[in-house]
Amino acid sequence: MRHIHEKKHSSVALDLRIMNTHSLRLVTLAVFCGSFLGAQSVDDTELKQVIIFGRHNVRAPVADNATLNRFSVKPFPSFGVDPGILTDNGAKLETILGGYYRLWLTKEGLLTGNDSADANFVYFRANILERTVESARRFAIGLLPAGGVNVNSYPSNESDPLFDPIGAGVAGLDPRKALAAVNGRLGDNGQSLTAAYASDLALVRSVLLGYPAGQVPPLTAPAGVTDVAAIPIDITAGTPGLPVNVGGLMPIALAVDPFVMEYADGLPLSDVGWGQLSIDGVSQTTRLYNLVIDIEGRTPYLAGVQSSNVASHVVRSMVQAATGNALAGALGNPSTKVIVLVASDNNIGGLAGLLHLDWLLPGYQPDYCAPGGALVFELRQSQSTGEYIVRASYIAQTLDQLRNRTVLTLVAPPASAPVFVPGCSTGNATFDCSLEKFVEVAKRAIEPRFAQTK
Amino acid sequence: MKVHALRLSTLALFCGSFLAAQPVDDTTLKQVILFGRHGVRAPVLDNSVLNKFSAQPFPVFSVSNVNLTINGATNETLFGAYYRLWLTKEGLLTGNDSADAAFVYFRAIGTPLVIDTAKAFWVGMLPAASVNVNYLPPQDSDPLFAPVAAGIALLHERMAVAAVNGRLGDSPQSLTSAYASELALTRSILFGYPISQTPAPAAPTGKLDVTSIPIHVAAGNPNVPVDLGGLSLVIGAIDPFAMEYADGMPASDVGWGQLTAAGISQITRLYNLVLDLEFRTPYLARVQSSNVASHILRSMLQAATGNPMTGALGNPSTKVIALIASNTNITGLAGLFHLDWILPGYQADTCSPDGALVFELRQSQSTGEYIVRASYVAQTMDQLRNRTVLTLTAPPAGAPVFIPGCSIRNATFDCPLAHFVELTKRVIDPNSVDLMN
Repeated sequence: MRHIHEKKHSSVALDLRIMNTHSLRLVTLAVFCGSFLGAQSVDDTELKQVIIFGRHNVRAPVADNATLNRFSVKPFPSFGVDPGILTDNGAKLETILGGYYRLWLTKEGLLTGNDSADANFVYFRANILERTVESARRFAIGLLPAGGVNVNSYPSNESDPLFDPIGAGVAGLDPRKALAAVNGRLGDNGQSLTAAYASDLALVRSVLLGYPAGQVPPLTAPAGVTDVAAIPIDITAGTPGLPVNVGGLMPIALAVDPFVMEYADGLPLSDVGWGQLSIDGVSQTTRLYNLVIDIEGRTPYLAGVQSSNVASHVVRSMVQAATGNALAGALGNPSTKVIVLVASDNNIGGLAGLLHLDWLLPGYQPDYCAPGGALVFELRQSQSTGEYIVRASYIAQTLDQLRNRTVLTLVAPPASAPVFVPGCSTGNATFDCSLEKFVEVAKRAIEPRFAQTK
Repeated sequence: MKVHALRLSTLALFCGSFLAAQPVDDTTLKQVILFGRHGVRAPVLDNSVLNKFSAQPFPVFSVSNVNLTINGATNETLFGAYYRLWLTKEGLLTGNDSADAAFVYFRAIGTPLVIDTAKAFWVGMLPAASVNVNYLPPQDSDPLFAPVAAGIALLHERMAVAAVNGRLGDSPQSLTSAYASELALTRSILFGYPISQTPAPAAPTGKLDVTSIPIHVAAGNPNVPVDLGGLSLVIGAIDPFAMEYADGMPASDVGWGQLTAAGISQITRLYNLVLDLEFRTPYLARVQSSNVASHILRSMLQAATGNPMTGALGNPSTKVIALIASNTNITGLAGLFHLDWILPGYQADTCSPDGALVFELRQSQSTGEYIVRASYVAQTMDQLRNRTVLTLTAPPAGAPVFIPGCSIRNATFDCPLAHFVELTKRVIDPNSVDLMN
């Protein structure tokens, strides 16, 4: 390595300047960086309110097995419940997760141990689906076992404006603009994704068609089996509930959707991708799923339409708690301390996209919305200055914590990613973002005409 | 993710009628701003360094490290010749090169690689005019391309580290599992064993396994906003592969015969990851790319109004502005505006050799309104490798780019200049901008 140290590029204009050899020397800065963190002022903040925006827990695949089995040479395993329904293990996992939040929020002073009293200060809201409503109930059992928490949700034949503002008529999606916004990220050529994701598609294909991943040439799909990797990716106008139709990407996402659930639900490894997928392989297949979430939820125009209302409610709920005054367009009331919103990955991905939030948890792909995983906003108050600050994080059970239904405690917590809020967070170790600035950032990001403030 | 999505393929027909309904394009091109990367070059790191990372020695390029290769110059001239054809068709060039040269402004980073690229591009675009490329001496930092080093923009180290760590859950090492397949492919190429080999062999004696070095996020230096630890060595090691292919080396020299074009593309995910973290992270994009964004906007306004403007490039009659820099610069500007693209054979948002983010300033002939159209244009990997002559019927790959917050829903993603002004004002950091021309 000595040669590297001696070599010095004088030019500042190196392509990819990161490769400047100084960076090799910066390994030593890890120590320095440690002192950065050490220099942080003591955290004198108190948690005043927490908003947990989570995904339902482990469920059966959304497509039924009759559909899925057209994509594979072997039949998909059964989850014992109908398509899209929370599994028994998923329910247990959600209670375990709620139990963790109970410990954490008790430590933080937001819960007291008197569940029925505490239940007056929580607000639960779930999307209309069985899996989200049931997840919310199971979470509540972990959080406040003696509390009798009420989970708010719309009837299953209606659209909740928080989670489906287009269906609810709160936000208007221009389908042509949606198409342009997506096509204009993909060079007007969705099919280019097949080359960009060739390695991931090759893995998925080998699992579905049951041959070793590296086999050359790959197996041809047998008669009667649809090769999902071969369906053209043609982006066209969407339908209610889906801003754009991503063509062949949708059957791909449906076909990979079961794998992570198989692993997380604790099916025997022989049933996880028919024994062909390791945990890393499962994670790799989720890239294709994440791609769909990114396109449908994070594309800036689509995030603005679909996530402005929930973003507005999140911010207004914080302001309501901070001021103590009832605020239109907020959730709960001024004394609500814990807000739990349970919905789907596209909701969480959309809100994250709107605010440009990214995270990474061990064993997952970047920005992956894991079963039970939640974007968490803490409203805290400095005890010395009275200032309100927001801290964001993404918290989820690891794939193995899910698979093993690991009991979570303060010393064995779920995985957690502190999240920097662009345009707001400061450079301190906890990425503090003042409430005042958060309101500004949210105002800039939110499409006001798509947010209910009455 | 609902199942009815499966039924939606029937909607393809419906969509076709959308596109057919577009009105005729009555716009005229008034100005074009090309923000391009240098051409194919020798690796950034010396072979003496690279060879510590690999079982076999890296191949030798036609030039010393970090310089434009001979084929790279040829490719850049081919690229410039394509723009000559396109801009002539669009009426921005006339065929009288020396007259046209008066309406052209070239600016390059002041290193031989980038200056030579700009010159080669010029030779393709205006072959009969003498080359005129603006650049600062190598010891100076160009505020357009290196505003932090030039003292125009201030990068707070702690904010930079926090902004990147706060995208990675404060655990950058988690990238090793998220990118396990790319790291495994990289390792197999560097140490020369089949990717499918299990267990993977140990590193050869005396060789450094770049994929095993811890990834962290630490304070950077004047040239790089944050230090990413082992990840910067990984990309140092993989940087040559795309260049080997694009420079036309024999297949046996492209990853020692182990890499296909698809494999190279897959490996560039690691390279793009670093670019994303260092230059697209919102805080870093604002600090590093506000100045070039401001100059681009002001140059358009100067052309549209016909009045000289501070902080613009060229003069009010400048029709073609070519800014030649690095993938870092292009990525940063794209990040500032949240622009994405994908070209056939490349990963999303890849800045390939020669490739350029192109801003067209157009005027409607019926309404007089000015609009902006953005695109990303680059030779494909095979066009580079084969030094394919580019024409209007055999053009480079092009991706029309939707500008979030500005583009309308038509087929060409038109963005009214007035809205582009508003958008740019919102995204740039006024404290990281100078008004120098």
